[in-house]
Amino acid sequence: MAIITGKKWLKFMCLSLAIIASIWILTMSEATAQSTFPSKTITYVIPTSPGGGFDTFSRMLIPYLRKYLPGNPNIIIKNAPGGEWKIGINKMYRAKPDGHTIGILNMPANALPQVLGEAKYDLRKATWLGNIDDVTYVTALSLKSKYKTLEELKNAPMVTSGTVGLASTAGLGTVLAAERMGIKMKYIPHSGSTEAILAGIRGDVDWVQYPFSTLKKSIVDSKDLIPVWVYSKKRIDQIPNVPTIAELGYPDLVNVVKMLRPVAAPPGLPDDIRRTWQDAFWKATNDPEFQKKQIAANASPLPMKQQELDDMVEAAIKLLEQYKEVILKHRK
Amino acid sequence: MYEAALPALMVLLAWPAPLYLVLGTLLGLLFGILPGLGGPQVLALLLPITYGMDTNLAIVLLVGAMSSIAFGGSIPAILINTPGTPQSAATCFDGFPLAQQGKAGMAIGAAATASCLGAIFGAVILTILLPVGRYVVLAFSYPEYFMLALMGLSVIAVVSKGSLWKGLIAACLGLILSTIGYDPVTGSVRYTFGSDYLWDGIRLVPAFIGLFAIGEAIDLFLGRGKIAQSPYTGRIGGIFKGIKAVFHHFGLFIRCSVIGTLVGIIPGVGGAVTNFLAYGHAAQASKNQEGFGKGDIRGVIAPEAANDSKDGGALVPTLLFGIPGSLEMAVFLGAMIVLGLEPGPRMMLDRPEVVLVLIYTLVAGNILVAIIGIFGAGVLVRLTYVPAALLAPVIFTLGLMGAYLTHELLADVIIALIFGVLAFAMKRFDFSRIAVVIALVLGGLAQKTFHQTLLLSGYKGFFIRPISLGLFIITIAMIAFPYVRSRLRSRGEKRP
Repeated sequence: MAIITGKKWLKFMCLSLAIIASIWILTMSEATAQSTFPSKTITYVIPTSPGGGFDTFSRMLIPYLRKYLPGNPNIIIKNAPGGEWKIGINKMYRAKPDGHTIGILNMPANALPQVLGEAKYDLRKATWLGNIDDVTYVTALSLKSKYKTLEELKNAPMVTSGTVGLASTAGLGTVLAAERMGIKMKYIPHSGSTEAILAGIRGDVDWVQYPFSTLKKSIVDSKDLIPVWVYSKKRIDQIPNVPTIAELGYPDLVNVVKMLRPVAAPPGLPDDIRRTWQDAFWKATNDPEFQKKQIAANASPLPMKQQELDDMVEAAIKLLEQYKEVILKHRK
Repeated sequence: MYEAALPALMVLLAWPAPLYLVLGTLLGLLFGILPGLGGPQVLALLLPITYGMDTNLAIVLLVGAMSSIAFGGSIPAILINTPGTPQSAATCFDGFPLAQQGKAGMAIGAAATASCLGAIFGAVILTILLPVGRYVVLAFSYPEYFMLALMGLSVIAVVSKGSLWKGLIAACLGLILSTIGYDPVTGSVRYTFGSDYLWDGIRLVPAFIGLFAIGEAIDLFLGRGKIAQSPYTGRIGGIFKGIKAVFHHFGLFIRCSVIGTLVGIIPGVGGAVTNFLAYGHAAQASKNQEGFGKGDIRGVIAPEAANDSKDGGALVPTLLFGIPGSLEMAVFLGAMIVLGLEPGPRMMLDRPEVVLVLIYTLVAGNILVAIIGIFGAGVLVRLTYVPAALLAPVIFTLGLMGAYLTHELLADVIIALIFGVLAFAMKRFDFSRIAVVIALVLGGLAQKTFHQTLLLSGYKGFFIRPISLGLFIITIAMIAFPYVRSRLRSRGEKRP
C-alpha cells in the first residue's frame, strides 16, 4: 500500500475535513428536544415559495403568535415549496410532535392527494391549531371575452379559463363550478396565479377565478377584468354591484368554492401543548390589530376552534370524494 | 408622480436612510456571493426587522439588499466558476476563463461597471416607460414566450463550437433533464420514480452548484496549482481596463441593457433566462466569436448589463398590474403588503413618493455596490492565487452547504453531487456545460408555453401573431447568419 505523504496528504486531509464539516452542519439541526413547551425556536412550515397569500399572511401573523405564546418564543419560517404542497406538509407531518414544528395548509385542496390515495399523510390525524382566514373567490371575465353573463357562458360552445393546475384550490373551484353550472370549459394551465390573471387581462382566456384579495387590483383598481359573481353569502362591499353566486341560483356553490388557511401540528401532539397552542392561536387571530391588518389586505379573518376545525377537515374530504370522478376526468 | 421627485430624493438622503441603504446593500452582497442564497432569502430575513419601521426606511433597506444581489452573485462566478445566484450563471462562461488568465480584476471591473450602468439604464427606462409599459406587458403571450425560449436555445449553436455534435448531445441532455417532474399542462408526472422531491423537476440552484462549484472543486483537486495560471505579482491590475472595456463596447452594453429591461418587463420569463439571452446576443452578433467561452470581456459585459437592467424592467408589471416580474419581486410584493402598502395600480396614485424612493434606492444601491466591488476587487482577486489544495475543499463545502440551505432538503445536496460528477466528466471529455445549463433553464419554459399555445390556438398560433413571427425570423436569421457570412467571406476571398 502506498504511503500518503506530503502534498497529497494535505489534499487528503483537507477533503476529509470538508466532508466532516458538511456532515456536521447537515446534522446540526437535529438538536435534542426537551419535553417542556416552548423550550426552543419554533419552526413554521409554509409549503409555498416566499411571496403570495400563504406566505404573506403567515408572516403577518407570526408577531402575534409570539405575543400570546408563553415565554414569547422565537418563530422562524421555513418555506418548503414543491410537489404540489406535499413536501411542505410532509415536513410538518413527520416532525417530532412536541409543538416546535407547525405548518400552514391549503384547504380543501390539500385533501385531494389523500382522497386520490397519493398522500403520505392523513389530515384527519393531524393536530389542528387554528385558522387564519376565509378566502372568498370571485369569477372575473376578460374585457376581450365574447361572453358577459352567466347565460352567455352556459350557452358558449367553449369557455377558456386560466388556472394553475387542478390541484390548487382555485383550479378545483373552477372545475367544480363549471361542472355544476354546465359550462363547457377548456383549462389553460399556468405556473402561477399571476400568469393566469395576466392571461385574462391579455384576453387569451375568458375566465379567471381567484380570491378577491388577489383580484382586487385588477377588478376594482385598474378595471382590467370584469367581476361577474362572488362565491359568498353576501356581496362584497368594494364591489356592491356584483351578485353572489347564491343570488344567481347556486347557493350550494358557496360552500364548495372557497378556501381556508388553517394551521396544524404533527399527529400525536400532547394535549397540554395542543391547548397552549390553540389558546395562543385563538388570541392571535382575534387580536384587533392583526385583524385590522388582514382587512387592510382585503382578507376576511375567520378564527376557528377545535370543533370547527375538525368539521372543516371532514367536510373537505367528503366534498372531494363526492367530486373525485370529475377531478380524475380532468387530470387524465 | 413626477412632482414627488424631489421629496422622495430627500427621503433617501435624510439620516438614517443612507445607513439603511449601506446595511441593506452589504447584506445583499453577502447573500449574492454565497451560492444557494439570494434575493428571496435576504428579503425573508430582513422582513421581521421591518415590522413597525417607517415605510420608506423599510423600502430603502429591502430594495438596497435586492439591488446588490446580482452583482454579488457574479463575484464567485468570475473568481471560482460558481455563480452565487442563477442570474449570474452566464457570467461564468467568460468571467472564469479571464480569472484563469490572471485577468480577474479586469472581469470584476467590467462586471461592476456594466451592472451599475445597467441598473441606471433600467431605472431610466422604467421611469420613461411607465405610461406605455402596459402595452409591452400585454403584447407578450404564450407563443412569444416560446419564441424567446427558442431564441435562447439557439445560442447553443454558437457557444458549443468545439464539436457541434457534442454540443447537441449536451443540449439534449439538458432538455431531457428539464422534462423531469409534474407537467401542469398535461397533468402527467414524468421520471420521478415515486419521489415527491422530483415533482418539481431538477431545481436550478443545486444543479448549478453541482455543474459549476462541485465540478470545479473536483477539477482543482486533480489538477495542480491555482486558478490563475499567471504568477502572482502582488499587484492587481486591470480593474480600470475592465471599466474602460464597458465604454469601448458601449453599443453592446446598450443592446444588452435593452434586452434585460425588456425581459424584465415580461412577467414569467424570469431572471435566470435574461443573462443567457444577453450572452447569446453578444456571442452571435459579434464579428469575431472565437474568443467567447475562452475569456472574452464582452461575455462578461453582456450578462451583467442585462441582469441588472432587468430589475428596473421587472418593476413595470409590478407597479402597473401588481404582478411580479420576477421571484424577488414576488417576495417584495408580499413584503409591501406586510408593511401595509397595497402594491399595484393604485400605488402610483396613492403613494407616488414610495414608488420613487424604490426606484432611487435601486439606483443608489447599484452604484454603491459597484464602488465596493471596484475597490474590493484587489482583495478578492487574491482568491484565485490560493493553492488548489486549500481552495477546493472550501468550494466543495460552501457549495454543498449552499445546496442544502435553500430548502434544507438533503435531496438537493445529492443532486448537487450528481451534477458535480457529471460536470467533471463533461469537462474531461470536452462536452459543453453551457449547453446543458441553457437547455435546462429554457427547456421548462419552452415546453410549457408550447403546450399552452397548442391548447389555445394550435400550431398556427406560433405564426399568426406579428411579434411571435418576428422573433421566429430573428432566431432563424441568428442561426443562419454565421454560416452565410463565412460562405460570403470565402467567396470573396476566392475572387481575386
